[in-house]
Amino acid sequence: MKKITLIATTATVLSLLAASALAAGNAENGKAIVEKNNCASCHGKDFKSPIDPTYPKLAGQHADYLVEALKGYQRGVDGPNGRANPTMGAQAKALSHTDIVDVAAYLHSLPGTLVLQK
Amino acid sequence: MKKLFAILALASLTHVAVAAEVVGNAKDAADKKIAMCIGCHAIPGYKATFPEVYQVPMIGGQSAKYIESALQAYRKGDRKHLSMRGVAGSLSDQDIADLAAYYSQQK
Repeated sequence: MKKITLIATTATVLSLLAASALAAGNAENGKAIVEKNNCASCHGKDFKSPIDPTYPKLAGQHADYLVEALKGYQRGVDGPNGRANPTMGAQAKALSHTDIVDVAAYLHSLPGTLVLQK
Repeated sequence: MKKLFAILALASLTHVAVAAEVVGNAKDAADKKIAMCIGCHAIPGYKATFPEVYQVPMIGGQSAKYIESALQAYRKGDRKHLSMRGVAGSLSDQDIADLAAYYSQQK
């Protein structure tokens, strides 16, 4: 019985670790994807000085929000919580879920100027 | 008399130009308009819960033009999100410009 409890506990701990690793994303892989897709050409090379003021600053933004935004572009405006934007739609559709999580982790890790204030 | 007409015509043209450009006023937003925003965007760690759970974005320090375009997209339906559609749908162009000015000035 003790053994079963031990195995069950180990399994739970392992799956929790795996889940948190997944949620955190691999920033290094994210950096590679961001470079390959040339995101900086619009969002700015430090990701806090976009080339056009209608484009968002991304550096330091919450990773889980960035995932949601990219998935929204991927789903398109007809999908649930979708977003219509031809450029970002094309970019996001080329990415896998893991790619998106990694990209978000990388952008979140960059020093940014965004703030949360009242 | 002709000169007066010319001046009047010019003046009204200028007036039209001014009316077309909506200029944001951060103070107007601070006084009356941020109430709908702060319940989510001013709470550290606040999460949207439907259909996916994620922290609402930091909007302070984004450029005014981006905030305007995001709010206009929510209002028009180019960005779908229940609460943001509701909030943005209630905003005028002037409200949007004021809020954009307000949040872009935070740092």
